[in-house]
Amino acid sequence: MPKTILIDTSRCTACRGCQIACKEWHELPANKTYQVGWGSHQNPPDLNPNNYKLVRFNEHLDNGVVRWNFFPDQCRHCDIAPCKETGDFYIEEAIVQDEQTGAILYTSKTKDFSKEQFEEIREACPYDVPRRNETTGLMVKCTMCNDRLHNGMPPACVKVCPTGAMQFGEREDMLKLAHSRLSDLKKDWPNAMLADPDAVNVIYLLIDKPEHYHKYSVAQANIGPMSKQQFLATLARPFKVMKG
Amino acid sequence: METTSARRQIKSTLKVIKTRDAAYHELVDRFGLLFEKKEQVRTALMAANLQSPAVDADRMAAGMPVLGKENLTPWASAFRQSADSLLPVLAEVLQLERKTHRNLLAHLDNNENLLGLAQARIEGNRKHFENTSVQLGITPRTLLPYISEAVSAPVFCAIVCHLGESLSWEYGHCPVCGSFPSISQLTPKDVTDSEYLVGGGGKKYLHCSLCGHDWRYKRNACAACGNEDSESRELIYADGVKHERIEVCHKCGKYILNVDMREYASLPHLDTIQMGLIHLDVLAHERHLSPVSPTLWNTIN
Repeated sequence: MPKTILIDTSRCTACRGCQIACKEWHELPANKTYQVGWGSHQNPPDLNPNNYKLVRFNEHLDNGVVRWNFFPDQCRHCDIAPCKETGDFYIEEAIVQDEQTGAILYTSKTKDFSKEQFEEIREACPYDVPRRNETTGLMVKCTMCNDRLHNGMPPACVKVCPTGAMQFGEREDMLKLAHSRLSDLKKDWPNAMLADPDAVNVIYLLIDKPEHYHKYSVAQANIGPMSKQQFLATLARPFKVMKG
Repeated sequence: METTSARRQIKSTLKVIKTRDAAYHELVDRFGLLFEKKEQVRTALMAANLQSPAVDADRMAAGMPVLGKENLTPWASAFRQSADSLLPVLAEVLQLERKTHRNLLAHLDNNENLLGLAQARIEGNRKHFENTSVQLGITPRTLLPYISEAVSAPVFCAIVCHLGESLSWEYGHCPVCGSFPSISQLTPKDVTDSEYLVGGGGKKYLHCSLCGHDWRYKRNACAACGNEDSESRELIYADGVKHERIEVCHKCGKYILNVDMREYASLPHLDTIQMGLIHLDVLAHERHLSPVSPTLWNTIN
C-alpha cells in the first residue's frame, strides 16, 4: 500500500521549516531572492529546480476580514501520474513510480527529454509541479524523500513540522485521519474540503475555497473545454481500473 | 507520526528488520512468532485486570522498586497461563532438545519452581539460574534466563501497565521490577496542551528489560553508573544511521543501545527492534564493552 502525506493547512503557520528541511535534505543551493515589487512573504516566488517545496501565501478579504492562507506546495505523487503517462510516450521509464511507497520519481533519463517534451509533461501535471534544471537538463521535483522512506524514516518536511500540520503514514491511516479532522473543521469552516483525496498521495485539507490558496491547489477539473491534462487523465482511466 | 497498536508495531518492526540483510531475515523467520505470541498473552492478561502492587513512596524514595520484595503468589495463575501458552513456542523457536524440553516442562509444571525463577529474575539472583540450568542440563547458560524472562515478561507487563508514569524515579534500574534497561529511547514528537504546537520529543526514557516499563532518565547520564562526564561518554553508530546508536560509558565500560524515535516513520516496538540491532552489539563487543543488561541478542557469540 502506498504511503501518504496529509497536509492540514488549518494548522500551518507558514514557518517554512518544511521548505528549509527539504532544501537541506536534498542539499539544494540557495536562490537569489528578492521582495521589492513582489509584495509577498512567499519566497522564492515559485517552485524551481532549487526548491521542491514552497510555502505559498495568499490573502483575500472575506466580509471585511483579511484571510491569510498558507499552502505548502509540492508534488502530489498521483496514483496515476499524468507526468509519467506523458513521459512514457517519449522515453519509457524516465519517470517511474516506486510501487512500495507510491512515490513518483524522475530518473537521470529525464535529461534526454527535449525542452518541448518537458513543457508537454509540465502541462500534463494538474498541479504545475515539474521543473527542469536548465544546466543539467534533469527534471526535478519532490521525491517524497523516497531514500528516507526506504530506511524507515519519515519525509524531512514531515519530521520538522512543529505544528502537526504534516502527517505521514499508510494511506489508509492518513485517509482516516483526514476525514476525522475534516468533520471537526467543517463545524467552523463550512468550505473545508480534502483536495483530490482519491487520486493523490499528498492530500491537502483546505478550510477555505481552493482558489484562495493557489491556482493549482486542486486539479483543474470541470472548467471549460477538456484540457490536455484532463484528456490524459481520461487516457489513464483504464489503467486505474486495471490497478483496482 | 503513525500511532499503532503494539501488535501492529511488532509486525511492522519485524518487517523492517527482515529487510536489513539475510541474517536478520533468518532471525525474524525464527523468532517473529515468539514476539507475536508474547504480545497475545500480554493482551489477554491485561484484559484479566490483574491485582496491582502497592506503591510505597518512602521505599521508592530510597531507590527500592515497587516489586522489590513482593511475593508473586497472587499472580501465580497468570504465570501459569503465560507458561502454558509460551513454552511450546519457545521449545520450537529455540529448537530445544527433546530431553531438555521434557526436563524443563517437568520443572516448570510446579508453580513454586515457576515463581521461583521469576522471583530470582527480579532479585538478580544469577546463582539460582546457574544451579537450575545444571540441574536440568540446559546449555548455554543464557538459555534458562531467556526462557524464564520470556514467560514472566507478559505477566509483569500486565501487572505494571496501570502504574503509568506516575512513579517518581531517578535511578538507572526499573522503578517497578528493579531490572536494568535493555534499550533507551529519545521520545517521538508528542501532543502538548497547545492546540497549535506539537512537542519536539527527544526526552530520554529507559526501557525495562523485563516488565517493559519506560521511565524518564537524565539524557546525559550513563544508565549503569550515572556518570555525566561528557569526556568519558561516547555515541557510536554504524553506516551513517545516527538514530540507532550505542551509548558508551568509558568509566564503567558498559553500553546501552539507543533509538531516536523522532527519526522513524513508523515507531518500532522497543523489545522487537533489539533483535534488529545486533550489528551494534557486535560493534560494542569488538570494543570490549559489556551491555548494561544481558539479553539473548547482545550475548550472541
